[in-house]
Order: sequence, then structure tokens, then C-alpha cells
Amino acid sequence: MNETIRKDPAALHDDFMKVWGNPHGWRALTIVNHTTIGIRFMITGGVFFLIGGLLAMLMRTQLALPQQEIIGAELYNQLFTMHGTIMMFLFVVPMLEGLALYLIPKMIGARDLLFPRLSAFGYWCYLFGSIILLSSLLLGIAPNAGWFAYTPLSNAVYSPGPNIDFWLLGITFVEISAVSAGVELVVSILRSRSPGMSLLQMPLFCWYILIMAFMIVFGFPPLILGSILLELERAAGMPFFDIARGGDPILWQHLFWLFGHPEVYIIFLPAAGIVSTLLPVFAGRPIVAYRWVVLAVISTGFLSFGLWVHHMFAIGIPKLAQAFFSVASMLIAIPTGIQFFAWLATLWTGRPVYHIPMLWLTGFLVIFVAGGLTGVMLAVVPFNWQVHDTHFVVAHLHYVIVGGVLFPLIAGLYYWLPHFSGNMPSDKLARWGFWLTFIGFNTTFLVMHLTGLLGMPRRNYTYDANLGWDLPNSISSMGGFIFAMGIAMILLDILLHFRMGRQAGSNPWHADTLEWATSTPPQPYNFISLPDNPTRHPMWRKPDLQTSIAEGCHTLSEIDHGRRETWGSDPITGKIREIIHLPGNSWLPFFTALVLAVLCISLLLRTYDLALAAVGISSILLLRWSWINGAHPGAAPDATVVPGYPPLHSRTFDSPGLWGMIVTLLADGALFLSLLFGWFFLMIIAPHWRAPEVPPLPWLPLLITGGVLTGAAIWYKRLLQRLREGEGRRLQSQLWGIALIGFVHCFQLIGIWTNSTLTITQTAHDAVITVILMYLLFHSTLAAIMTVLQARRVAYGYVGKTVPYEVAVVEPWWLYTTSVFWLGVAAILLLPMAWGGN
Amino acid sequence: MLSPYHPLQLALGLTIWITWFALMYGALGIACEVAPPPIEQGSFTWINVALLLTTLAITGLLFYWAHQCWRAAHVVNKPKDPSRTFIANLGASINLVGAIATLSLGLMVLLLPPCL
Repeated sequence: MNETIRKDPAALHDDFMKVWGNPHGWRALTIVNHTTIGIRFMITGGVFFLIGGLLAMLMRTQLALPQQEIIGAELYNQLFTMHGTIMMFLFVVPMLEGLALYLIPKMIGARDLLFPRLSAFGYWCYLFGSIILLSSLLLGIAPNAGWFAYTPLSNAVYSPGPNIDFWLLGITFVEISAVSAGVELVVSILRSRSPGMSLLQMPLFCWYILIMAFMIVFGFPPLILGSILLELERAAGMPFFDIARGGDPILWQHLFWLFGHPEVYIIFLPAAGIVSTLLPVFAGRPIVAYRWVVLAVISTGFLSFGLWVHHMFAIGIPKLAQAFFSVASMLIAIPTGIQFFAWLATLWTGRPVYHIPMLWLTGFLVIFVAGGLTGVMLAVVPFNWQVHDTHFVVAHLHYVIVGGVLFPLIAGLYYWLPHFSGNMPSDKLARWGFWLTFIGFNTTFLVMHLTGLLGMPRRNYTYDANLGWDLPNSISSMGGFIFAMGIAMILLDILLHFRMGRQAGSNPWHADTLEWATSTPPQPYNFISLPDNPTRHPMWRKPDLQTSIAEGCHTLSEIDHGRRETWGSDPITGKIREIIHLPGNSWLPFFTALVLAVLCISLLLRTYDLALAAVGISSILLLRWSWINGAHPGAAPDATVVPGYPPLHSRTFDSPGLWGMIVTLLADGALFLSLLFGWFFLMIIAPHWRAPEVPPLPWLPLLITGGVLTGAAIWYKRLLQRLREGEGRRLQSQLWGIALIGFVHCFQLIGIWTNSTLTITQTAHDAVITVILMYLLFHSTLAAIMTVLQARRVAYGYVGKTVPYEVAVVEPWWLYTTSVFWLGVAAILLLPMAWGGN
Repeated sequence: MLSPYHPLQLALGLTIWITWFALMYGALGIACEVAPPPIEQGSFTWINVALLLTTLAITGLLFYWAHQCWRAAHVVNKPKDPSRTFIANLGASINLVGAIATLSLGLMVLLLPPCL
């Protein structure tokens, strides 16, 4: 498939821009291209970073001297809650996701991510969710229960206003964005690498992002579930966390930290990925121990899910259980240590040059080691008890997050700045920025360890003068302002470099990875032609790659068909399997997110009629979204490809859509498992758990409707099997039949529910069962609706024997729905019998 | 056993570890709720013995898988495809990490009473 014919780059560029070009004005809201979406994520995240930093400055002003009343207790509560929330949810995660969305396709030699409309949708959800959350600050009703919103403080009794509702609904909305980016990144990295880029040849940054994306997929659902449950408790009185009615506030802590601890590594891993990408470039050699680093990244990803209870050492769990989590917390230092030694060995054996990004990496190495060591100290249970909820923990957290994430992020920002803009930053301003930040940060937080050891609790808005905390607090506040000056210097440098920076030229750092083979700044299509990449260092092996790509010397440089295309490859070997055609610009992501924002606001205002209307409209928009696929005139009605090329993905059974569905179901499964965990936890641990004498749901109708659902799923599976064998007769009527059975099951389930004796506000038992029923009903209904959609599309000719991929995409949903139904029924009916509840 | 060259080897060992860990933590909670042994009995209780046995079983399994993957990469029919060797090598390391993590955590049952 390799071409060697050179073409006129300017003419090729013009042809590609007709297909890939971005619109201007209002229509810029329709852009789905990953470069634009990635930059939007990063700019928006940067703005939130400044807002979060401003809140921190207000807090440091308040704490600079004892017994100050500049800020009252209530506002201070809002400030520290919003500072943590903004930094964790609105800045770090979206910023790193934005960087990944921007870089990944370029690094793997693809033209775009595989679900561009999903990227755009994720961005709008993030933006609207963040605006809703921030509006609470302007209204003076911002969340005020800390960034982990512990119950009972955050329940309707102790936080009766809308403050916590803003947190729960806003964060859940933003998390849709995170999970959609996670799915997008996993599938894109696995299925769209350039020819020959096997896993063995994949740039380390992609490994880091792959693991991060998987962690998002598994790590965010517990918090999404927790937020839904707490909002249901607040709005509908369902008592999941209320001890008197059989709930338990500790369940919230478990759900939060099941997300919260992996979250630390979700943000650390991409930052470490930046380090592993930049260090070899500035050391002038490949990284030492590539395979060890990959092992360390995968190990970190898994181990990070086994540490969550170390945030709960003070709640009174058995010492043996504490010992498990203490050891696990120490174990995770080992893979981090492996990466450190690989970085040091790379520097040791290379010839490092200390350009600006290297300064930040050196700062990272120093600060993060200190943060890691205090982390090991905190893993020791007796020490943890001593410093629990003191400023020591705050200092540790900032050493880890600022040292481990912000410093590499700024290193990456300086490194890729010429890629974003085509210009170089000012060396002098950048060095001033670094030293002010480094000195300011350490002045603030090194001293804060001492403040904590002296016993100052976190989250106190003021303190007495005779406690010995005056001087360390004053020093921390001065440090904070120096830190802020450093950030201001960096900001100034970045703003000025657009106008005054010298031209960067191509590949100014002599980097090895493929993103530097695009033009700087890049065009929306990234690459005119897609080269083979059987190496980890394409730009070192072929320094003229940028030219040969622009001249169309490689593959897939045809554009007269008018489709946006990139290669679909084998996830392991990187061998080409199909051509993936991508959707173009669309209003659908913007409007769908907008309607969901209306839903969010209506839930905040408790205007449920409006909420119902928003659900209806967003469903219609999502159905329209899925309609423009496959052989639809707006997608790929003509399947003709150049002779010798593989088919379009929509003409196969193994499309990215199928992979996307499976990864989505992994996230869905994590949410369901969290729900089952909650059910078991309350049943076993909650002090006042009450189960009725008679089971609230009749078992026989449940078994019958389960049989109906299973029948539909088996029929669907057989239909797909026949389609794979080339048998496409009566496809439409069979799909209608399956959908009909699916709806019968849904009505049966609704009947069982409405005839049950569930009293959802009286006991946690009935409240959890209700949520399980809602979950099952949602999945069954969606399975039936998706099958109706397939049947309709067969009628239009968009789905069929020659365009079968969507039928294959829906199959895992049916299987999943059936599996969770039986698991749910077993949990509701069988387990309580075994436990002696019913 | 799953083929040493199967890509799921990159996740299998540590998935087994996290599943074992979660079940062990859950089982400890249930056991302490249902039949807590007397505190004076120290760490020699039926709960500790049961947890230790599962620890040893899972550790042994993961060591065995690590060995099989390592053999596949280095000794038996060394594959020509470097991707397959990479997966087998990495799979061996990940199974080994899983085994070490299991043993490190599980050995705690020798030191502490279960329900204190």
C-alpha cells in the first residue's frame, strides 16, 4: 500500500481542507476535530486553574495572620470546597485529557480520534457543567462541605440549601465528559495506530494515556453512582446514607474514595507520561528500560485501585484491614520508583541539555520525591492517625499534585508550545517563571508540613495567636503570593510568545515522536499521507518525514471521495485491518450538551416537568446522532475504496463502534458493581439495616420476565450469527420481533415495580432495590429502542448484509442487560435469603 | 491457562490480585460480623487461616503463570513475532507483580487478629 509518487503539497492541502477544514463564526461551535477540541479543553482548564488559584490566594490572605476576619467562616467553607473541586475536577483532569485528545492521534499517526462527535460532546458537557458549578460561587451558594462532600454534613439536614446540589449535579455532568474522553482514548489508541506501530513500538506517552483512560473508565463510575444516590437522598428522601433508616454514611466514603484514590493516579500517570516523553528528547537518547516503564505504568494503574481505604484509617475499621491497605499503599511506591530510576538512568547515560522544559522536569523530580515520601509516611497507620485532618495532609497533597502533575504539565506546555503556535517562548521570562514558582511553592508547602505537625487542623478559617501557628502561616502565605507571581510570569510569557516569540520551525527540540511530523501549528487533518511506523523513534529514524508526508508519499492520501478517513489497525500488531471513516462537523454535540445543561439546571431548581422535557429532547437528539452513521448519506453511502485497500469499517463486523460499546459497558459494569457493593455493604455493615419479613418483589414474575429478556438476547445473538454467515433475510422483521419482546419485558418490569410493596423513603433496603430496578429498566428500554432503530435503518438501507457493523455494536448491550438483570435479581432475592434478611 | 501470548496477559495477573483483595476485604468484614473469634486468640484464628490459605493459593497460581509466560518468551518455541515475545515477557512480569502483591498483603494475617 505504500506510495512513492510525490504530489504538489499545496494542491493536496487545498483538497484536504475542503473535507477537513474548520468553519468560522457561529459554525465554529460545530467543530469536532480533535486538535480544536483538545485546545478548547486546555484553554478552559487553564481559566479554571486561574480561578481556583485566586480562591487559594483569598484563603492564604485570611490565614496569613491569626484571628483575622477578612473572610467569614461560611465563605471560607465555600472557598476551600470550590478550590479543591475546581482544581481536581475542572482543571487537572480536563487539562490532561485535553492534552491527550490533542496529542494522541498525532503521536500514533492518525488523522483524528475515532469518535470525534463524542469528543466535542464531552467538551460541551464539561463547559456547561463547570459554568453551572461556578455560578453557585457568584450567587454565594457554592458547595461548602469540602471537595469530598462527606455525609452527613452534605445531607439535606445539615446542608439544606442548594449548595451541595450544585456540587452533585455539576460534578456528575462534568464526569460525563471525563468518561466519554476515557472511552474515546482507549479505542483510538488500540484501533487507529499507523501501519506497523505494534504495542511494542508505541510511544510511552500513549501507554500512560491508555492506562489513564482505562482507569477513568473504571474509577469514575463509583463517584457517579455516589453522587446520584446522594442527590436522590437529598431530593427524594431515599435514605442511602441515613443510619436511622438503615443507611450508612461510611458507604459514601467508600464510593468517593473508590474514585478518589485512583483519581490521584489518573492525573499523575499522564504527567509521568510527559516526563517519559520529554526526558529522552533532552537527554538525546531513548528511554532506559522501556519495558520496565510499561510494567510500572500498568502496575500503578491496578495497584491504585487497592488503596482507597487508606483515606479512611480514622473511621474505625479492623486493624488487619488497615494493615492490608497500609501495605498496598507502600507497594505502589515501587512502580513509581521504577519510573524514577528509568528517568535517572536516561539522564545519566544521555547528554542532557537544560532547556526550559528540563528545568520543570528537574523541579518535578525534587518535589515529587518529597511528596512520595510523605505519602509513604501517611501509609503508616499510627502516623496517619496523628496527622489526620491537619495541614500536614494538605502539604502532602500539594507536593504530590503540584509537584507530580503541575510541574510536568508546565514542562509539557513549554515543550509543545511551538507545536500549538509555531512560536518559541521567551527564555528569560520562562526562567523567572520557573524559579518564582519553585521557590514560592516550596515556601508555602514545605513549611505547611510543620504547621500540620504542630497540630493545626485543615479547613479552619482562623486560629488563635498563642498556638505557635502564626509564623509558619505567615511564611506559607508569603510563599503563596510568590507562587502566584511565578504563574503570572508564565502566563505573560505564553501570551507574549504568540506575538513576539521567534518562529519555531519544524521539530525545534529534535524530538523523536510523530506529532512533530505535522506542520506547526497543525492542520485539522494532521497528515496528508499516513506513513508506516515500525519504530518508537520515527523522527530520529527519518528526519524528513514531515516533507514526505506533506507530499503524499505514504498511504491514504486520496481525498476525492470526500470522506474523512484514517487507518483502522490491529490492536496488538498495528497491521492495517480497515479504513475508518469519521463523521464531520455537527451541531448535535453542542445542542445535546446544551439540553443536558437545561436538565441539570431544572434538577437544581426541582422543576421536574422541565427536566422531563429535557430528557425527551436530548433522547431525540441522541437518536438523530446515531442515525447519521454507516451507509447514511451523511456518513459513507459509497463504499468504494482504492484497489488494494481494506474495506470501510462500516462494511465489517469489527468496527471501532463495537470497541466503544465494550469499553462503555466496562464503565457501566463498574457502576453496577458499585451499586451491588453498596447493597452488600449496607446489608452487612449498616447498624440499623431493616429488611421486610416478606420480600417486596414477587420472585415468579421476576423469573418470567427474566426469561423473556433472555429469549430476546438469544434471538439477537442468533440473528447476528446468521448475518456473519452471510444470511441477511428477514433481518428487519426479526429486529422488530426482538424489540417487541424487549418492550414486553419492560412493561412486565414496570408492572412488578408498581405492584410491589417498596417504600422508598422508609428504608435503605427498599431505596436500593428501587435504584437497581431503575437501572435494569433503563438498560432494557434502551436495548429495545436501539433494536427499533436498527429495524428502521434496515428499511432505509443503512444497515444490512453489506453494512452489518451496527447490528454487531448493539449485541453486547443485549448480553450485558441480560447479565445484569440476573445478577440484580440474585442480589435482591437470593442474597437476603442466604443472609437471613427476608 | 490463557495463552502466554494473549494480550489479556497484560491485565490478568493484577486483575486476579485486585479481585482477590476485594473479596478478602469483604470476607473479613462478613466473617467478623457473623462469627468473630475471641480477641485473646490473637492471629491464630479460623479467619486468619482461611485468608492465609487463599493467599498462598493465589500467590502460587500467579507464580505459576509468571513462570509459564517467561518460558514461552525465552525457552519454548521462541516466537519470531516481537509483539508476541513482548506480551509474554510483560505478562510474566505482571503475573509476578500480582504474586508479590498478594503475598505481601496476605502475610499480614500472620501478625494481627482479624476483628480487633
